[in-house]
Amino acid sequence: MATLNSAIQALVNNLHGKMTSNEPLTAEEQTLVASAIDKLSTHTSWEQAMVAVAEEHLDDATQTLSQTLTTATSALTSAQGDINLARDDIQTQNANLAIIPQISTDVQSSLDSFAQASNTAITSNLAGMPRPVFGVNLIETPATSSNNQRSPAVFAVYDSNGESWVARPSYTTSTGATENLRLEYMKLMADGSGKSVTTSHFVDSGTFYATPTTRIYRYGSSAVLPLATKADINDIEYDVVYSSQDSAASGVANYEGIYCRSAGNVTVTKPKLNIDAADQWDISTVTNHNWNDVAALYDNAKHCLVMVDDSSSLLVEKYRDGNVLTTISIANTSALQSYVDNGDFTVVKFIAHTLDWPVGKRKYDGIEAALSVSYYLDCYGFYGKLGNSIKMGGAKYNAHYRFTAAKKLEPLNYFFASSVNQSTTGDASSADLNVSITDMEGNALGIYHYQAKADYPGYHAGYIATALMCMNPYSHVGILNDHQTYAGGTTPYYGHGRTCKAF
Amino acid sequence: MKPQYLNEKGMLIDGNFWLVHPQTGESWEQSSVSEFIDNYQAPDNSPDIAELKKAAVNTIKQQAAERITALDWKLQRAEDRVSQAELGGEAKISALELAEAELLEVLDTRETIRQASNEAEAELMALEETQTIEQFNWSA
Repeated sequence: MATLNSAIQALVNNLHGKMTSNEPLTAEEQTLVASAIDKLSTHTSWEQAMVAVAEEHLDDATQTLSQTLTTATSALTSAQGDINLARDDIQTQNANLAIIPQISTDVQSSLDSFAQASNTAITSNLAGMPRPVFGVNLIETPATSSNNQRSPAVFAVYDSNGESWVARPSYTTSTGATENLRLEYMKLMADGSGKSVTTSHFVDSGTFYATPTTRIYRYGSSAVLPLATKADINDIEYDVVYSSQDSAASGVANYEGIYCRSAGNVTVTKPKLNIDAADQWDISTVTNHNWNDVAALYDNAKHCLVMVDDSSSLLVEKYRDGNVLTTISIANTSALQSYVDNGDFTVVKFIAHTLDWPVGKRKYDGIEAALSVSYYLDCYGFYGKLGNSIKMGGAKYNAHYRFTAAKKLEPLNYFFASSVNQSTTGDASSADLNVSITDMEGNALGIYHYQAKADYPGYHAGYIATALMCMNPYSHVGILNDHQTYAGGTTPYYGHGRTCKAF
Repeated sequence: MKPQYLNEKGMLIDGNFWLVHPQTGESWEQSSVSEFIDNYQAPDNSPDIAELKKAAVNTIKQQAAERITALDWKLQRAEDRVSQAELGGEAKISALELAEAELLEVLDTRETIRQASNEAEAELMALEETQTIEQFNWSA
């Protein structure tokens, strides 16, 4: 009210000033004065008149406020529309946002697929690339004496755990006790650090031993296999399996049969003569009772050897702790084949107790010959089965198997090709060896390269074709053996066998 | 290094394990373990002195041949100069003398190498120590 009074006083003063100065009033002021007189004439008091005047101003203010309210309401309505539009947009985007977890999953899946494809490609490429071979630890004794010659022949089972179980035939036979007479069964450590010899004999040229320990009779063959026990087919350990004569004679009439070392000679079983069956790779058993040509069935389900007993015609399962004589009678070859076809069997080709040089082909004439020529001739060949040609074990070939993670014994193919340049006076020879190990479908499990150069002018670089005796394609650990070298003069050195590792 | 017997792993010999005795093929027993360790003799891997000498002599011969062959170009030059001077007649007498002296010098050097090589071989054959044989050096 004080402000209103001040405003009215100012108006009156203004009117009074203009009236006393004869200055004409403006049209607005004249209206105001007229209105004031009218209000004063119709109201009983000054205050009432003033309130009436003020009310007109309040009406103006109310009108202004009303207009402002209308404008504001319109703006709010417009804003509400915008907000609704924005809300609709957000709701639309919300559906898209919900896709993000799926996108994340899809991206991760794609990355996983890509990584897997890359790994597969890399692994495949690595399997197809030669791996250089490095010698690691001696398993023989280097010496100039020919008594230290060791055979490069080998029967090997490559376990999926990286260890290899190896039978090494002797180089020769006699009644002595030197390294060249040693028939050795060993485990190669998965890291290449060395060997663990489980069984060792000297191969005797004249005396038969029913229970071989220090010595073993020359006419016989053997293998080392993962075998279960009669009570537990999952209790698998490697054991030596012998194929033996019954006395110091080499003929088929004196063939005694097959027995596991742990079970002993008392468990020997003579396979029924010429009752044979082929396994899933079309490799056939051999039961002709020749000491150097033996092939028996291995049951991949029971982890035992299986054969038809010569006297009873019943199937015998041979475990490392003894035999199980079944009630299954096998009358002929077709019956055995039918039994094999209904199971999961692998034929195991035994290797002769003595095998100085496995054979391979000479490049220049294509003739298969002992690989003792490979220090000066290029050679090639394979051990395994290719087409209808089977070159495994016996008294001529090496034999390579793997025991898979699924506990299945499978034959492998081992291909080799060696090349040398001839040594001349004043010049040193060099030699190369390439080896590929494949499964029976032809998939390369590992390709390996070894190169050697002569240590002395005018002399060879070693017997290269057989230098990589064996190689586990799981761990890439094997045995490297140049057999003979000339280190510092004209006298050869032997005993170079060493574990090796490829990278 | 002496062998070491470890239960379950067998005898550790030069980094390899033997679950059976290397000579008898029998499983280890307490008596055979101690006997084997006590009597073990590491393989004699010492070099053969005679073979070392053969190798060293061969090396000397090769080195002598290389040193003589290295003078081939000097010999050829000297011989050419002698021939050239000879074809020049009396006017080249002084040049001929110089060329012949040069040729003689080259021939003397080559012969000196041969003699030194022979002496080195004889000296080497008199040695008996592996280390001195392996470190033997000669010059001409």
